[in-house]
Amino acid sequence: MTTVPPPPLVKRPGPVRTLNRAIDERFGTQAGLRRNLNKVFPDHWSFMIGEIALYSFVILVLTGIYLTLFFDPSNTEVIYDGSYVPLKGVEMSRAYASTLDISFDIRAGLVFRQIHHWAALLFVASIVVHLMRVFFTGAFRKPREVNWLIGVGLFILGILEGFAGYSLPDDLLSGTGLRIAASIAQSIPVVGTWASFLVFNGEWPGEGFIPRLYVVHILLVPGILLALIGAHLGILWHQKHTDFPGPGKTEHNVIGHRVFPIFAAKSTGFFMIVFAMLALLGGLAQINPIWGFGPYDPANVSSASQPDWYIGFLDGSTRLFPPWEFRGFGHTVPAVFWPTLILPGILFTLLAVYPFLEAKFTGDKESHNLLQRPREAPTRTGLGVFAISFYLVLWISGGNDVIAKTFDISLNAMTWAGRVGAIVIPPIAFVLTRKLCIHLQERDHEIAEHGIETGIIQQLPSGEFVEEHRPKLPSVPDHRRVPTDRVALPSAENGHARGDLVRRAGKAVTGFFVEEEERLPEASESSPDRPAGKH
Amino acid sequence: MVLLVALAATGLLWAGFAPRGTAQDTADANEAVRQGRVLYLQGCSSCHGLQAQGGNQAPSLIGVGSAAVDFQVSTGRMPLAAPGAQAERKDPIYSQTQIDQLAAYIDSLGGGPKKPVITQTEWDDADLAHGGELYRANCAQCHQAVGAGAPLTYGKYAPDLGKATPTQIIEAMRTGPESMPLFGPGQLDEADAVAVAKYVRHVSEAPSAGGDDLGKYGPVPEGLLAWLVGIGGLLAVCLWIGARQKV
Amino acid sequence: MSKQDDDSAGSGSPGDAGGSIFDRAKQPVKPSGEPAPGSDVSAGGPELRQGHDDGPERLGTPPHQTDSTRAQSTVLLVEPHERAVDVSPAHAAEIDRRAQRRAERLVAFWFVVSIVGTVGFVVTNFVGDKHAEYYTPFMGVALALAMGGIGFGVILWAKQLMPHEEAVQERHPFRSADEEIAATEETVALGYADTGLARRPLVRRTLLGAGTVLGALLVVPLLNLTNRKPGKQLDHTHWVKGARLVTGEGTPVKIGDIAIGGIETVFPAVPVTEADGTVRYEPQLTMHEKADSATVLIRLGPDENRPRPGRENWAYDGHVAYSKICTHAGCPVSLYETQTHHLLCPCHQSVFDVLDGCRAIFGPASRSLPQLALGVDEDGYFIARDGDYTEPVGPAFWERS
Repeated sequence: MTTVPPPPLVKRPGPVRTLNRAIDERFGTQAGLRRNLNKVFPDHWSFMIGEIALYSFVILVLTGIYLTLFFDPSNTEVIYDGSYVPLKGVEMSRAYASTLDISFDIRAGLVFRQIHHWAALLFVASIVVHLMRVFFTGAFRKPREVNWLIGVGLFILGILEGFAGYSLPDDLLSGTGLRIAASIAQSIPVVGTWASFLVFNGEWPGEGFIPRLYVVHILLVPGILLALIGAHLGILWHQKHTDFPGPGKTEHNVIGHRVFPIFAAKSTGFFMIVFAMLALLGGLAQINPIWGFGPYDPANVSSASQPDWYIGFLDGSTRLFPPWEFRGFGHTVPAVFWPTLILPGILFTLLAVYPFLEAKFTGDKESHNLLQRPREAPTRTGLGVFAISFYLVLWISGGNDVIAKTFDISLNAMTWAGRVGAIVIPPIAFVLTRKLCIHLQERDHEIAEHGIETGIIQQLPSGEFVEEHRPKLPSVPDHRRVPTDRVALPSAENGHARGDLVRRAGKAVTGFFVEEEERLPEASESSPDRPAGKH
Repeated sequence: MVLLVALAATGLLWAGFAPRGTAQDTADANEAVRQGRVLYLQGCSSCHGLQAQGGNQAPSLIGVGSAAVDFQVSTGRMPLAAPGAQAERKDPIYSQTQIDQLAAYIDSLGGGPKKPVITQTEWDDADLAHGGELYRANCAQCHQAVGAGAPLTYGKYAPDLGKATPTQIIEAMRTGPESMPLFGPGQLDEADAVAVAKYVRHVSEAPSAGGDDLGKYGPVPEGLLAWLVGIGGLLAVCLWIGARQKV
Repeated sequence: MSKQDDDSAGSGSPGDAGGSIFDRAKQPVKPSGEPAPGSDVSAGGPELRQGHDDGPERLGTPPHQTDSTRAQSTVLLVEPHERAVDVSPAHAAEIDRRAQRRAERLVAFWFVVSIVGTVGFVVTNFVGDKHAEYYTPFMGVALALAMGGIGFGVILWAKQLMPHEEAVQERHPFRSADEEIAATEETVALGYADTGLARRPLVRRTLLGAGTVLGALLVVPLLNLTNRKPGKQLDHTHWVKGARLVTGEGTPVKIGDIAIGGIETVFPAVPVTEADGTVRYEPQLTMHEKADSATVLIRLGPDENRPRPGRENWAYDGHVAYSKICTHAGCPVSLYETQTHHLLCPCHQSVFDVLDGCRAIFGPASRSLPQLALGVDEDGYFIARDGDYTEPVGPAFWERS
């Protein structure tokens, strides 16, 4: 076994090394730092989708901070006197007036406001794409169910956070959205009226609701989002990323690029590109022009009032749902309750528990680190397409008025098509997808058995024509294989595998109990793969 | 702003054709009615009847007034191209002179709202912000917040106001064409009507502050763009970064 | 992540360094797949097929291996102290240098783009006219250049100038050893025994009780969110008997103001009797008043209205008044089609038939819009003849029958 000798310690360290050593003296970071710099991330484009969400979130925080410096979350009515002429002298809330100021009177205000809004749309959209990637490749399977649950939580919170932000400027569009939200809260059986009064502080439009919503939007939900994102990434880091099967790849290894430098460089670059994309959208495509909608007035409404895309499916389900209101015993369960609370409740619950359902029905209790191609799990893929097609029908119905106008279709026809489509299309999609998966699998099997068709036809001496097949070549690794620790140190040999920091932290904690708990050190020492007491 | 002035000037120009009270004008008006009747019999009478009394497919035009005629013909809705849920805006087939003659003829059959005349002073004095408030209270529910239009039931729709001239906007308010409710002077007086027209022109013509206006339709095109360009573009970047080219 | 390092860069044999792309093109797997003598096989990648050589039958090589741009990669992944193992052929190194210079220039170009973008952003920010049409688009594009320049530069740098590799790291099962589990469980069990909770039911029960009661502390702040109890608030609006119908600007609506086919949104102006006996009408136009009292006043043609039984005299001279608040989700219902006499809600497309008592005829709404009984006072102004609506307006809720 050839081992590279450890490099000698640089005698006269430069400023970076000096800083590094200063930190190390206080926290003992070197082994952990080296391990993390050498951490390997597999290299597949689809693993970067989640990064879009992460970077969108960072950009949301950055642009959001800029907006908070100028936004005035207040319901107080003022007479507008800014530079947007068509609203001069109009009575409006300070929230709306300050949003106008951000848009017209603050330098770079509009571009950052628009980047913020586009980033919100992309944040939720990339979560959805990431979720689909994880779902269709089976990445949610054991041991990653908890991260799946956190991801579903992030998805739901992202939607809530987006809706809160959409509602803050107090324009006619967002006010209409909040009005509907209040009706939805009011529709909950038994406690609905109270729920609506508590949230809005009284009968709609309530009292001082915008400051309340503001706290939710800039502190409460972002705080939870941040904590969950930290947990999501921490778990990912700890459990290591999944990978597709490939040459040399097994359930027990990760092959790819190390964090430093390539993975870090690519990720930094990608962050910049996500920012650039959002800056382009924010500069070139106008979003949520609140000055056009006017200030909120409960007696006014604009046609084609739509929520942002991620609420669209709920708007669609509300439009499609039949007028089924249950009345009896002196009580009412309004029609709006079913499509806006029960339906998403069921959808998100099914989404959250899917990993456990799948494990139960397939009996697969194993841990998996290698991903599956969608065709390898026809039923799962079929279910996924079932859900997506159902979601799409609702989503399209959420914009059915705009579609009806743009393509000259009767609105009523759109509604009925949505009602029928929501019931008929998903099962068809399920059956077709499942069949397709099985067919593709059979083809793969065929190729594995008989090779790939070459198109070369040969005539056998018997006169029979046959097509030549060539065997499918085993795929070949692209790059040189290197181990992660370029310089092996004796301590590494002894398995700091479980992490120096973790173990030392563990020791520090157990240290308190050593006197009472004599058995613990013995137990660890007898553990074959984790020799203890090296420090 | 240039456009606004140009439109206002057009309005003034049209005002020049409108009948006036002098003796010479009266003679002109009679001539216009005569010419209008000729045009009517050629182009309209097959549906609206020889006496403008209406028919199976078309309403009576007695008493609709010159505003209705000018609106319907100058927006190209009449003559109707094909029966449908609603008449569509298209290029007018009559010249403005001919339209005025037709209007004069129909006007001579009985009252109804007169084609409005917007003076430059009225236009300049109109309060844009007040027009906006009136627009949001009375118009935005159908024509959408910035006049992009929206569907009604069974294929009918409130049209896009992008091409409507101030005169046509006021004519539509006064005559309530097809599905549109009628806003008489008892609800919106002259100054209010001009203010609304001014607001509509403003939102149709003012450059959008934040880049392309995406058809002014709000969240639906925004969501589409976020997916197609935003997510689509970034996925393409992902593919590029993850591509195992080079090296 | 510990054991696999040995073979690594340390596989001293020059032929094994695998640096040359040309070697690899001919023997795709060999450099990494074939273990160097004496090295740890499992290190380089455990499942690798060894010495797999497709030989002459091979139908071409995968495109990425013949790609000429790969020449750049002949830079070896080596630590500074092992430079000695670079074995790239001389001509390959030459191609390599040129390609690298090209790549360097490209990366530098993107970084310069970023500088230009940043400068453009700063200059536009301070010098640009913030009311001009170009301002926001220009800022966006400049920012995109500033960010994208660095982004593309860094990624090209990583892709074209940094050595590529396939680093291998082992995964470890997460399950702890049985002994570890047993010891931990024992720790907890002993600790629990020390607390004596199992032996002292009094402590246990009172603690449980205290914890449960403590839950009330969660409910209290929630309930403190409002001092406004719902009560019967949702059942009433601001309409009172004799209130005049006024527009959003406070103008009272007189008979004749609205033409046939017209619609007006009206609010209550409540009569206030002054000290001298005169009656003043106070328009109710705040947010709260508008939110539940908004009403549409529609003038139908003569004899078009088909009043519900019991409401025959609620209309006045063809005028009818209905709540503007949708009974489905509370949006203002105001898309009035004069020919069909339909009121359409723009939010979820419920349709109400004005002639038939505003019955819900399409879409998700199930209740008719409540009707307001109209009258006209001696001055010719419309008034709410009987006072408030006879049923709650707006979306339904649990307490309503």
